[in-house]
Amino acid sequence: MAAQTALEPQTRPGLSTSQLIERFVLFVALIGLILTGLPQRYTTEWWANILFVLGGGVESLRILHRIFAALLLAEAIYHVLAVLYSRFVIGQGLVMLPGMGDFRALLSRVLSNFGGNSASAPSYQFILKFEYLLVSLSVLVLGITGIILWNPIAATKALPGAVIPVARSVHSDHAMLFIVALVLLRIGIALLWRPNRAEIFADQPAPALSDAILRARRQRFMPVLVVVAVVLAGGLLWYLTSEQTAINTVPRRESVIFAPQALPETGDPHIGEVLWGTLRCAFCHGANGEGGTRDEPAIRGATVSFAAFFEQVRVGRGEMPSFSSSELPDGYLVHLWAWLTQPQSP
Amino acid sequence: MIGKAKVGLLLVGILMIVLGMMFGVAAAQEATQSAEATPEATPEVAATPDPASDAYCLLCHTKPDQVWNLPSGETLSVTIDPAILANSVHGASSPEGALACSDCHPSFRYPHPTSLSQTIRDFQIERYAVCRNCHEEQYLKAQDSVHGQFIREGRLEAATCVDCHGGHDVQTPDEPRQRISLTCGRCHGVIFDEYRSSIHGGALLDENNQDVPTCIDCHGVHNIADPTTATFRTGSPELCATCHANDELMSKYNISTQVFDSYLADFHGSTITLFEHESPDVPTNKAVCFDCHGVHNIQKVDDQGESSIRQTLLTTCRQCHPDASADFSAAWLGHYPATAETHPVLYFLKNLYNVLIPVAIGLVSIVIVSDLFRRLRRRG
Repeated sequence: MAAQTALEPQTRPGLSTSQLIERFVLFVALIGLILTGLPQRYTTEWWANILFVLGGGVESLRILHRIFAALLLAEAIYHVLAVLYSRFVIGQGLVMLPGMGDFRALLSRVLSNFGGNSASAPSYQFILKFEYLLVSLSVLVLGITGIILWNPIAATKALPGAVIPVARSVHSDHAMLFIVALVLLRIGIALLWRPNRAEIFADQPAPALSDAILRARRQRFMPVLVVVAVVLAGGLLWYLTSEQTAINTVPRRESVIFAPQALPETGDPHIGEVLWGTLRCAFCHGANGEGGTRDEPAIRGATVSFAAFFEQVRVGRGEMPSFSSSELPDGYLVHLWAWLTQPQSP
Repeated sequence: MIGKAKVGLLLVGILMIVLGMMFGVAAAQEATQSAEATPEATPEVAATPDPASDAYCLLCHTKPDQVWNLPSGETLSVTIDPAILANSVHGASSPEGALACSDCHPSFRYPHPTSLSQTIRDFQIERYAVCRNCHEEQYLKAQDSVHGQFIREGRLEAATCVDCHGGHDVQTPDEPRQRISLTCGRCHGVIFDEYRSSIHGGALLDENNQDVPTCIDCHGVHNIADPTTATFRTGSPELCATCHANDELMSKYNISTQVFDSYLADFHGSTITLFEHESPDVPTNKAVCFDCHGVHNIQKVDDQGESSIRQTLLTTCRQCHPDASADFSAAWLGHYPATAETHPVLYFLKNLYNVLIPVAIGLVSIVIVSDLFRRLRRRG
């Protein structure tokens, strides 16, 4: 009996308490998933920002999305068990799944609306079947892709890594397809078509069974049902708890921030050339070390040792002042010397 | 007689005064040249320039080997080359006119006041506030920066104005552009070496490329923020986007600006964007650009070496996903959209839904419209 579950605008006669609870859970889970999922797809929209704030931020919203997803999956598992019970114990067929007759009825109904004889056109009961198919397939697709996205590391141990972006794309796009189609169907069902679910089951009623047969079937089926229930519930629990995809806090990088006058092992002529123009050296010795206008010596291409060069700069000589390490760090001198002593092309 | 005697005494007195002055000046000159020159040394007053003028200061401060001995035992050279000063941005080329010594040293008229500074660094910290007189905006920004904060906390190695710009030889700070990174490298030598080896630093220093970022393009100039905060981390993709989302700039190097768009469209990027807008100061574990590409040692992504980002992608992923399986990194498509050649399944499914969604809308809409049409027809 639970196989008839579908979104209907109001309670119809014949719905059991468990079916009513199923509908309520399905409604809450879908609304929750839509409200927490859409802002994740449209992150830059103004309305998405409102939903992020209402949800307590992006991380909280994602947790809420997962809670609603877990709720939907739990409901789906229960529904599968209920369908199995209905099929194998009560003997009820899968009447909510649309067949070729329903597709023909849809075509006939539309054609008659546009000008045919609407009096003989089929009623809109088939719409509920298409809606059931839409919900079932979407829960399956969104459930599988959602599980992959929730547990990407476990997924890539069994599947190629490329399955992750595929799952992400399909999860997002199929959710949009599902939302749009479901909203349009619900508008039509509520305002125009008003289909009666009871008529579907009236067309394909469950066979009348004696209490003895029903009891015997239950005794055979219940152990299987328990095993299936345990496996599915265990799978859901694993899905919820097995993986911590990423570390909680990115480790801080360690770097030596204050390292003045770092003395390189070898000088870099490129840096030396830049330093030459940057520092005051060029003011006296010329832009390329070719010598200054006040008879300062040309020093580019000099063969001086680094020790002698170092001494000259630090102590000074003649008109040349001394330069302390606070003005010219040792590291700079290494680079300057490398450039100055670089062999010159003839 | 009395009148002649008075005149004679007056003349003798004047003669003695003149002789005394000549002797005194000569003695003073000798003392100045022989004594260790310090700020307390007697200036050469023979030329008697205006005590408020630069010439008066330079009487002493042009002499070679002028030093100031501080209580710490350090010696600070106080010899000034007037040509260096004149050639600085505060010299004759300054639009506002050359600065005088007293503009920056207003309280240093001779005899110099006694300084309370124990070390050279104390003196530099004490003195750099004078820059505020003309550069208040930059000074206040620097005070709010991580450098200013450190100095207030007593970490005196943090940079002050003169550490970056110099004292008397202040030059245009970003000419040549390489000067910027070299300036920062004076204190941040290890980081400079990393930057030097990066694609950005190599292009700047080896190829004189003027487009690549220097330190201040990412860290700011005077208002340098603490780069270890969550706020800096969360906002860092926007920094990279300054260049990498610039079509005109990237086209020069055949670099796609999709790298940034694709990051924003991805799980990491979209989360970081939301954090930046909502709560930038809250730490997040989602990757930003530098988590994968490096901070200062950023390399070309098409490098083929053993340490290239392509070769080490899984290792990079495992920094945040320690349990990542061997094929986990294949989940990353790169910064480019899927194509039929690179990712056929994804490409097909993406296009399938591009068709399915409008088809679904269309089919349900047809049923709705047909029913409305029937109702209208019935009423008519």
